[in-house]
Amino acid sequence: MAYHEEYKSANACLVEIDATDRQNPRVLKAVIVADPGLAINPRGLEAQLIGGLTDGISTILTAGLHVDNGAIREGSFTDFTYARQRNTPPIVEVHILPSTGEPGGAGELGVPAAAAAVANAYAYARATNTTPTRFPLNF
Amino acid sequence: MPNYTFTLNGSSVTVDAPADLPLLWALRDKLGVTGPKYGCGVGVCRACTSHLDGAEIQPCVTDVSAVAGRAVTTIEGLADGDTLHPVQQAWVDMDVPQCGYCQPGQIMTAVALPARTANPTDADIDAIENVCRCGTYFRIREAIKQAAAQM
Repeated sequence: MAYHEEYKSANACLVEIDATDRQNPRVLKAVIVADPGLAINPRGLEAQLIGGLTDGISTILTAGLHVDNGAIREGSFTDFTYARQRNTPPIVEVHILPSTGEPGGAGELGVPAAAAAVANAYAYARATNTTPTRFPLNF
Repeated sequence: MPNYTFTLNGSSVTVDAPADLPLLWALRDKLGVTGPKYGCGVGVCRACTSHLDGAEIQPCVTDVSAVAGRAVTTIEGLADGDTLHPVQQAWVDMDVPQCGYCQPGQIMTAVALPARTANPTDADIDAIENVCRCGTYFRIREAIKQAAAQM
């Protein structure tokens, strides 16, 4: 799991990962808790955090770009492998903490905690007992 | 240029176009049907997904000449008058879209899925290739299950 604070908001993300196939790990479940101060649109905030989770999974596991002599090698979604349905967890829970004050931001609030949670779940003896230092893992 | 006549969302249409014009440009530029979106142009992102004779196609890689005499359905042709298709209604109920750009394609793919299997499993849903850069995948999954339960 991992925790992140940004724009007067905070969130934590817990993930379960199946790394039986080390080259093709799958996040099976994610639980996200966020304290945005005051959630103006809770359903929208949940959606934004689910999107952040998808971004975090992509960043750590599959989606990256190569700069080759100054040019980006990837040309489309064919080789820029942003998460597809099969890369995302079939179980996701998002919990928004009750209002405590002024609203914080939530733009990309969910990305760092989700990314770190996926990396930690894959890494620190949790699943593979390795310590990856380069991402995405499939590069 | 030759004319190609086909059925679009229940009505007969004719377009004057080169044979290899991608159907997507016939729909969007010649017929003003803009539900199918341009994403990659190579049939990978699937933002343009529509139906040809009821089966899923990607109009960005389908020549307009290939649909002559056949029936094309876009997101615009999915609802029955003011009554949304169950998949569209599930999308509304589950607040699925974020930016919305990929969603017509996602919905058309989702509609084609229960047509093949009455109770889509997680494995069936995992096989969907449509890209959503907002990452709405979980709500798409939930909406497909809800729609399938009501169809």
